[in-house]
Amino acid sequence: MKKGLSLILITLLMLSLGAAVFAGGQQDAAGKDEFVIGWSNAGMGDSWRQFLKANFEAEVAANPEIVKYYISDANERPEKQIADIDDLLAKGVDGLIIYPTVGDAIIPAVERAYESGIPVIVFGGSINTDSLTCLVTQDLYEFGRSQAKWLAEELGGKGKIIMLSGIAGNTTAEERLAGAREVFDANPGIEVLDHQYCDWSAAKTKTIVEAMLNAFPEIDGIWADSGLMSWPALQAFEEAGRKLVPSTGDQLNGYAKYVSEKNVPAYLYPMSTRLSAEAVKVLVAAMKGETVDKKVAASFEGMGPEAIKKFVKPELSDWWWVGDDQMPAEFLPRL
Amino acid sequence: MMKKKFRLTDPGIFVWVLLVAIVIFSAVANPVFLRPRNLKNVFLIQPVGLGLASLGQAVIIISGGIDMSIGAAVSLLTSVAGGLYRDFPGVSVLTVFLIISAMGTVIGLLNGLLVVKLKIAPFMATLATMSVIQGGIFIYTKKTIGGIPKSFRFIAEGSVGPVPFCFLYLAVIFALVLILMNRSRYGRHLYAVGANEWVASITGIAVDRVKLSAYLIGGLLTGLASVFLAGRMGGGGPLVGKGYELDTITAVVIGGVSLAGGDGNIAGAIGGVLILSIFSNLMNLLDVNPYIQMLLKGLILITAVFFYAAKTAKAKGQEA
Repeated sequence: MKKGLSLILITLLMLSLGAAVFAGGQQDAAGKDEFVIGWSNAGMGDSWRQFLKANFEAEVAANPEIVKYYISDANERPEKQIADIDDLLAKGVDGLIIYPTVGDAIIPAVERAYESGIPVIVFGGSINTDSLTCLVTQDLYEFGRSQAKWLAEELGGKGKIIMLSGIAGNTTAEERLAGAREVFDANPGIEVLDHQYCDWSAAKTKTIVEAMLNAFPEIDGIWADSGLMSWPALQAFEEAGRKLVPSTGDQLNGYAKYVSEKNVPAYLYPMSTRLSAEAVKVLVAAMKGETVDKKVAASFEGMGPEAIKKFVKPELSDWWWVGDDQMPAEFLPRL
Repeated sequence: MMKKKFRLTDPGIFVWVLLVAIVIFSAVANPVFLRPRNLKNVFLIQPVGLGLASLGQAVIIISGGIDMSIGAAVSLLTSVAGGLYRDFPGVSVLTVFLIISAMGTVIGLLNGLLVVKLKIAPFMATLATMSVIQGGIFIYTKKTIGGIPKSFRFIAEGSVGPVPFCFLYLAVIFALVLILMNRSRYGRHLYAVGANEWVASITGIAVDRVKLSAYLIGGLLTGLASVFLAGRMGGGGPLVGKGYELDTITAVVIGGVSLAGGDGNIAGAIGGVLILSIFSNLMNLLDVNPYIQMLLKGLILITAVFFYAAKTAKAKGQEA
């Protein structure tokens, strides 16, 4: 009995392996007018990612030649994303969009996809390879630089600040930080009291900022790479009975609501979720055989106190993303 | 010793039944699953990294320990592999292979010494090493280091005839570990120590040495896994191994290895890895919502653990 069953199991596995060994060829997308596309997404953990997906889906709907799309989720892990990309290729997509977990840790898979002959668009991160159709990106050094410039000017070039970053080692966080440091290093009047990674977590930010408030009797400004951190940081200031100070963040509605309500100077630099829609546009062009640039750098404008008052959505969720909601209502995330 | 009866629900068998079931289900659920290219990905390439690391985790768990530092170790070792190519262009593949394997073994040694010499509980000891390694990586590099050349990537991407090289890499290492665990005196000692240290020691087994060696083997296997992963990712970075320790534990547990130590077949770990690999592929093919995926993955784990726990309870009942 045991031997018989083991034999069956082993035979079945061997058959699968045998079939696996003789891998087949690739599909050809050229000359089609109906497309199936795949999006290898990094993860779906927060409302920003929901807006990214909403903008993607709205743009897909606006392009009737896309008859079907698949989205895979890498759970923020490069090894899973590599497998996801291979899985999407196995499904036979005509074009691929990749939002990288860690750009430089998925290069071989991106190259494999590109070499299979389909257009490959990477967006929202940096990646060190030319084997792709187009890199749609936002300059993250400029993101940090722009925030830091505003803060330095707001403080009149003189003051003590704290710096709050996202996740250590995360490309987005590190590039924003590097851009900001560039500016502060060039401004000798700005003293950086402390820099900490707060993981884009409100709870962690509060704990860290409470400790900073105890350590430093004078803090004149907050550089945070995201509203996810400048907002709880300001709340910690308020709870400690300290004067609210100028701060930087991104286009998070809750943060925009808070600073406009408290009438405290702030600067929002958008990490636009419209980037996914840009990626779809470029992909469609490439699939139709049009020539597309190797690199598309989308640029955005920061919002100072006046612009914030204009764009803030007081009636909507704190987790809304200011300015990213320019799409038909049925695609808007329900938050 | 009484001859064991064969039952499908025996942990060592159940994992393979589960595997065949999930293969058949996948084949029926989506024809893309049976496309040669997909089968090649799912059976021969995708399971290699987790497979090697899980073999290491299984050896350590069978010896009565656990290794929480695998994820951080993978991040460090792949980063170093990328760093070696960045700082010493033209370094030979063999040199990088040896350095990464050696570093993995040293991390294993560190874990082993904390457990054996300082008598720290394995969970805490390796959790501490995890933190130390993670900190070390950030001192070494904050960014991903890519740019590992094609010559090294052969380990993950190359083929020998129609067979992916990485599959042979896993198969050879798996065979060696299997022989070591199931056919050698050392393997029997390892099981004995994991089952009951005190009994093992009075039968004359050098318990400390056996435990230490389990961490060394585990560390080496983490090193070998990192070599593959560095090739597969074309680099490494501070976060790339995140969660790997939990994935290896999941694979090992699904594979029927008892977390209590001293019980379970090392081959089960590979069965567990294949189940996870196919599951992830199937979810992609069927376009299942990521939240449902997590939920289903949890259910598979609970099902496996439930079967094994029921089995163990029954076996204990029979002994009494």
